Amino acid sequence: MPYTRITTRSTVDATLLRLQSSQSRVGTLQSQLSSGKRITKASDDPSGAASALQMRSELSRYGQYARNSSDGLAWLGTVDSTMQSMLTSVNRVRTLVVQGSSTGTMSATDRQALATEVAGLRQSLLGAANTTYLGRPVFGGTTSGPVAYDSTGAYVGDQNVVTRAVGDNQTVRVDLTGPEAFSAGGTDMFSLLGKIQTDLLSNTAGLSSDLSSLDGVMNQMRTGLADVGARYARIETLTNDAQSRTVNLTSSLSQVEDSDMAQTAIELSIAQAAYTATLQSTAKVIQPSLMDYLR
Amino acid sequence: MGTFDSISSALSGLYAQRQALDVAAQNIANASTAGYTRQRVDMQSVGTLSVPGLWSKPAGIPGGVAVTGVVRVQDAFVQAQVRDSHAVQAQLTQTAGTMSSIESLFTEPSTTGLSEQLAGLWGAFQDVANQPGDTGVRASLLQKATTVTDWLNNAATSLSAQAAGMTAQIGALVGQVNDASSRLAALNGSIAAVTVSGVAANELSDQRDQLALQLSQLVGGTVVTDDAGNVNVRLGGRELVSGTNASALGVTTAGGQTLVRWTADGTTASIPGGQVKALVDGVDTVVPQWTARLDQVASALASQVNALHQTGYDLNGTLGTPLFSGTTAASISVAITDPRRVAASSVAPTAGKASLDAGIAASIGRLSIGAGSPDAVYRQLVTDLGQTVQTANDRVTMQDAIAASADAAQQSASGVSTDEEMTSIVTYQRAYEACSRVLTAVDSTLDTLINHTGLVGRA
Repeated sequence: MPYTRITTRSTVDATLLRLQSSQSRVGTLQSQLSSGKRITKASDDPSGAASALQMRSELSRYGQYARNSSDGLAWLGTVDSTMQSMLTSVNRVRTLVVQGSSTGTMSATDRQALATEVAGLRQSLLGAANTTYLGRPVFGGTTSGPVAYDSTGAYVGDQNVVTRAVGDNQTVRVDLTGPEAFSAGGTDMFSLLGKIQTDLLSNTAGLSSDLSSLDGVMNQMRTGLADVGARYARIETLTNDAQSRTVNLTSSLSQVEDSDMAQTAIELSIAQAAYTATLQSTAKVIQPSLMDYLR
Repeated sequence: MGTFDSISSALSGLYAQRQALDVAAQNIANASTAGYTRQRVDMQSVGTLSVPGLWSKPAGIPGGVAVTGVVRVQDAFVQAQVRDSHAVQAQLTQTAGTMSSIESLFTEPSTTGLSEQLAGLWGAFQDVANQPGDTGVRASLLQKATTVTDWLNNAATSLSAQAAGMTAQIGALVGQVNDASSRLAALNGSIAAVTVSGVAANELSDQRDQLALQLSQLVGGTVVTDDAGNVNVRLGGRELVSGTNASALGVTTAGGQTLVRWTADGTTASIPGGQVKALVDGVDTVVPQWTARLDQVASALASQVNALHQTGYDLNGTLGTPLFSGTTAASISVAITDPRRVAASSVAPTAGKASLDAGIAASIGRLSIGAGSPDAVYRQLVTDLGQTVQTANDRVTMQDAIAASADAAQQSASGVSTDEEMTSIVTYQRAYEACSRVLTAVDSTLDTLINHTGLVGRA
């Protein structure tokens, strides 16, 4: 029968090896437990680390989309509320035009008063059309200038669109240019308002065609508002999707990267028990010697 | 048969047991000495003459015991196994160490690694896309870009610093090799001289084996014992130690490559294994390999961002210039310092007025998506590196077990067992006592013959 000769040093070496390996196991588990992470370096689990990296980059991308979305919502909100109040003013203009059209009852002074009110409304509408968000006129396209319409009511913005990236492949337009919002059939709102002013004073006959043009402009504004509302809703939906995606990603990331506390704690106590047992058996194995028994 | 034969037999026994006790004492004294090989007394009974002469006829009775030698109890095969397994272990451990320290540069996955910095850069581009007119946001974009290039520069610097450290370590280790090989050659000479004079050179042989093991751990190589009893060490077909001659090695660095050369004629020495081989491979292959991978990340970042950036228009309305200069991890830097020069707009200025369009910034902000993106290139690097480190660590664990079992086999054959020595001591002691008893018995027998024979009838 083959037998291995056991020597003093081989016992010591083997014991030392076992002590070190069980101590290193305790150390690894302890660091997993204290850091709460199962993967602290890529080599702990290369494929897990790869997906963790992917998820982290996706998470920060979705965080950015959330920022883009709230910025986009603020733009659209500004456009929406501005146009709502402008529509009220335009409606008032329409009432005044209808009043001015009734030729029989209006005196020249009355018309003068109507024209003055229209002029005031035009001025406030011009101010509203130059509404800015973070210093940019929301109806000015991508202009770098401070206003969308100059003091004469001429459009000075451009036709380019402002968009926000709200998903990996989703871009939503968040503005409405002045011509898109306030021009219909080649008639610009501010020049129309100027014409109404003149017509009220000197060309009552032209008022009926002005009225139909004004209706055209109001229709255009309502269409624009509907469009803005639809885009607002779209961003909100995408934001909700992004939020639930973020929650899912965070939990997946935790599953990949974080250590299972209960399991690690149990494994640690097992490893500790094994280590203690190794220590105890070492104390028993190393001590005895034949010399204790020889006289 | 001579009258006093038994006295000399008993005397030879006393001598032999005394010597055996001495050897046992030596074994016990060295029970914990590293590299000590236990010794054993070889005893042989002294027999009859093999060639009978005219006047010396064999009496048929043996003439005691003789110590024929004190030998080292050693298994040459196990010894070779120990050397080989430790050479591989030293190489793998060093490789794993190199890989681990490269891995520690990348600190992934974490919130401080490059992937997080890249995500910050893409986010900054999208922030600029949201507010293209705000120079504060643009300035913060340039800061983020600088953070990314700083990270890449630092990683490249650390990698080359690591290579430099390893080169210095090779120099130190080659010094150790030269020292060990010249001591080994000197021991070859001493052992031959001592053995010729008929004395056992066991302790010197232990030292020589230790040196051969040390050389194996440093440079691998083949250890051969020749007919004259010399231990020779060969490196790739050339002898590092041959008899009493040791050839010196030196280190040179040429063209970015670190080479170990034979000092005598300057030819390149092939290092078959051990720690030095792992370090040479590390400097010449491993570090350049991962630097190249890092360069790929830098190059992907610079080329992809620049390609888009150059088609855009900045806040002054001029066509964009490259945002990054340099295409390696060590050389990449942010080429733009003025925040207004970030070309965010895809629309040319109209009537000299820059557009606040942000199509380019938005497109660059989406560069992280897709297979060839800088993020993907970097992610692949981290995954591959992690895989390599894991494999290296696994191999070390495996080789540790192999080396430990070789050590155990060696200990089993050559180690000192104090219990065994104690039993031997008891045996030798008892034998010594018995020999003394034989002397006493012979003495009293002779006393009867000399002093009490022929006295019949005396008063």
